[in-house]
Amino acid sequence: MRVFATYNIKGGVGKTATAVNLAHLSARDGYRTLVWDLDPQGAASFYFRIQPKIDGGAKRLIKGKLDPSRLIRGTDFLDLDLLPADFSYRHMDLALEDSGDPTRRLAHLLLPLSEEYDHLFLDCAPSISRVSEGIFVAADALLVPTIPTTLSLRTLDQLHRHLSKKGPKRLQVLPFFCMVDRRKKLHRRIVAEISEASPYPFLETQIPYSSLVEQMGLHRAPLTSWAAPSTPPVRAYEELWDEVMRQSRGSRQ
Amino acid sequence: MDRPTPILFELRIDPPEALARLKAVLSDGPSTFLTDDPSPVATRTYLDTFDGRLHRAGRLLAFTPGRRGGRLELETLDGELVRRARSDEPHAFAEQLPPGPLAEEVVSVIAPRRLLPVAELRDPGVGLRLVDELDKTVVRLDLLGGTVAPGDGPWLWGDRPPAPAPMPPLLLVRPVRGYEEAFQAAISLLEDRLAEELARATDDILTQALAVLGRGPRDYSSKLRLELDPEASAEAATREILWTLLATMRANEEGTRLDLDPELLHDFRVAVRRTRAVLGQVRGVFPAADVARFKKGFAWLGGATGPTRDLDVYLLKLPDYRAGLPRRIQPHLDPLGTFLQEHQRIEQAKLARLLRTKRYRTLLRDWEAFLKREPREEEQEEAPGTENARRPIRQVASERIWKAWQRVRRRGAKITSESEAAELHRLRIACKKLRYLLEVFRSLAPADQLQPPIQALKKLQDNLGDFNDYEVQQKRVAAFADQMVNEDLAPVPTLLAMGRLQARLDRGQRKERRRFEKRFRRFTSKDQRRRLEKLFKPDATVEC
Repeated sequence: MRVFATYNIKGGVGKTATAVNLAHLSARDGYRTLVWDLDPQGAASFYFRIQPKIDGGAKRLIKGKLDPSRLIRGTDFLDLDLLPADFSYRHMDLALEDSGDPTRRLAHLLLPLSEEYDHLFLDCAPSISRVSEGIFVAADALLVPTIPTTLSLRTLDQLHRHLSKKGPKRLQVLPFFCMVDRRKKLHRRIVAEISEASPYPFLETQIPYSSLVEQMGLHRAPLTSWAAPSTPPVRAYEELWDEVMRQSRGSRQ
Repeated sequence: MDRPTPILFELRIDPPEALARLKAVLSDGPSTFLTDDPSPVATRTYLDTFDGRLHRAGRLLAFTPGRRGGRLELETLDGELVRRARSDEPHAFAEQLPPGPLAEEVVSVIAPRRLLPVAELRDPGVGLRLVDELDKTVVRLDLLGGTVAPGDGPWLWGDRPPAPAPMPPLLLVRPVRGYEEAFQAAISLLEDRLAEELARATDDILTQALAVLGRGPRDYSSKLRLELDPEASAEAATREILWTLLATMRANEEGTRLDLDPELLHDFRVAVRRTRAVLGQVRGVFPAADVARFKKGFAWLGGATGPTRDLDVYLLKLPDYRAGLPRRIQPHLDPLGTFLQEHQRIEQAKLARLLRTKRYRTLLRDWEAFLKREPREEEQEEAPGTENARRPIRQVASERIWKAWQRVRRRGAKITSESEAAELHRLRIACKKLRYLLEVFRSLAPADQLQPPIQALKKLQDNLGDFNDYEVQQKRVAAFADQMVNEDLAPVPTLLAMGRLQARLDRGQRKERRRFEKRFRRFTSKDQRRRLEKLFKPDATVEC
């Protein structure tokens, strides 16, 4: 099982849209795919029309008293399942702290799922916390959606500082630009500057700004399942998925 | 963890009516209602090998073309999805499938056979869903109908493909993970309210589709599946065996001619060899003149089909040959591959022509006529060499098996570590004859009694066969090298690589030689001896 985490210290950058759309493309390619919605707000669960609720909450799950595979729900798409969010995930840090092995606990919980799924997408809440540290250990690749603002470079540097001190060495960090408006001169300039100065090389694919992405909330389904294949954001997500798969194959050789 | 599997229902009402009834019944369910699946498909083609290997492995493979590209779906016989892959066409050979987990599973089941389109569902029906209050799918339903047509490929089961016919209406109800309650509720509702209109199906979708065409997914098997009556006359039983073998030749003929996959020719040749073995081993049943004539005919056929099989075998071995060499010199064997392919093509063309010659057609036609002929009483009395014809097959077969077994023991006991390859070869032939007899007459003895000696014999044969193969392969590789030099196809690195290959084959052969003694001892152990004695020793034959 290959574990992808969509992560950014900053919020509102398109993490959930990335997780939901790439997971849909992964399932469409025949990979048995699971999304774990780790964000207490439950946006990924919302997009799949699944109640963001788990009986027993984060505490029991982290303690190992709930079998995660019993909480999994099939989405409307074949080969694509979801482990729903729960509002109690906001206390997951505490639960991890109590578990005795806060950084490795999440990876351990995922172990039994590795037989059942080929790809796992972790949709993470923003911030650096115990939960994100656990995710750095559990994930094979960190997909970092980055919006073209000058602040983004700062958050990438913060992530880099943090990971070079505490992160596992084998973790792939794959930033890419999101919500890019190629017509804006400013966006083009910032994209160039950040790519230049970034501690991690950027993926080539850029996800354009598009009102279609915002309409995902109305459709409550992955963009790639209902928007026309020729539209720029759908094409961009397809390219992004191809590029991520190429990168992940490259890193395994 | 127990999760429900899909349930297939047979419907006693036509799809349009069924759709209305399902809607009415399921809308009464717990806060769920029905919407049409937005993506109905136009055709669904089921793929399998000629001998139904996927079906035997409990799998169905279906190809569905689509606007955004087609897809392959591998399912259990219940209809539970195992693996999917995107694919623009239904590929024939496993190696052509899009790389990924689906291809891996399919390859492991079918290699080296090829996929054939076995049945095509046209307008296979509508997809329906039960959804919850968020419009989230909680149960999937497929209402199947339309027509079944033979797969759009070579039709290997008889002269002409049957005409398309209506598919019996079916309803497949599939659970969605995490919504098991909704699934159970839907099943209960259907079974309570539509008790008259539907019933759980006993056969899978493909079996039902093929039944419409008068076929079954496992109709062909290379195994001899005979149930002989032990008290039947030796003549009647032998005819039955030979008739089955003839049917196997006929079944593989067209696919062999088209060279669809190497197993077709292989099965064809095995049937020829078994025919020759029965003719040679089961004596005193048919008039000697007929036996001599047909033995000669089938010896010719066996010989004439040999060169193509020979090259098929080397082509199949090539990946192993490559893998046995250091990685950097592996590409040096490529010219050997080209050479083999080229010659296989030539021999295959000859074989295809041969299967249309008068000589071949006459042989099979005469043979068929001979097997069909009802023997006249007085004729039987007169014909020389038919003294066993009217004895029960049980007796005649036991005698032959006993003799063949004694011969194996005698020849094997003489073999020492000094023995020449030729002696092992003679033992191998004796084993082969015994094995054919045991398999042909397998239904005359209880399976649990016969299985252990057959298994031990098989192991011994594998050992002797491998030993012999290594011997033959070394000679053949040398001959190929010679031929390639003559045809100007052999660069020096290729010849050097083939030399290394020779050395490897020699090592393999010596390894098999060391294994022989143990395998032989196991086959002739006290237990096995007792079993065979009990079953086949004259006078000691027990009624079973």
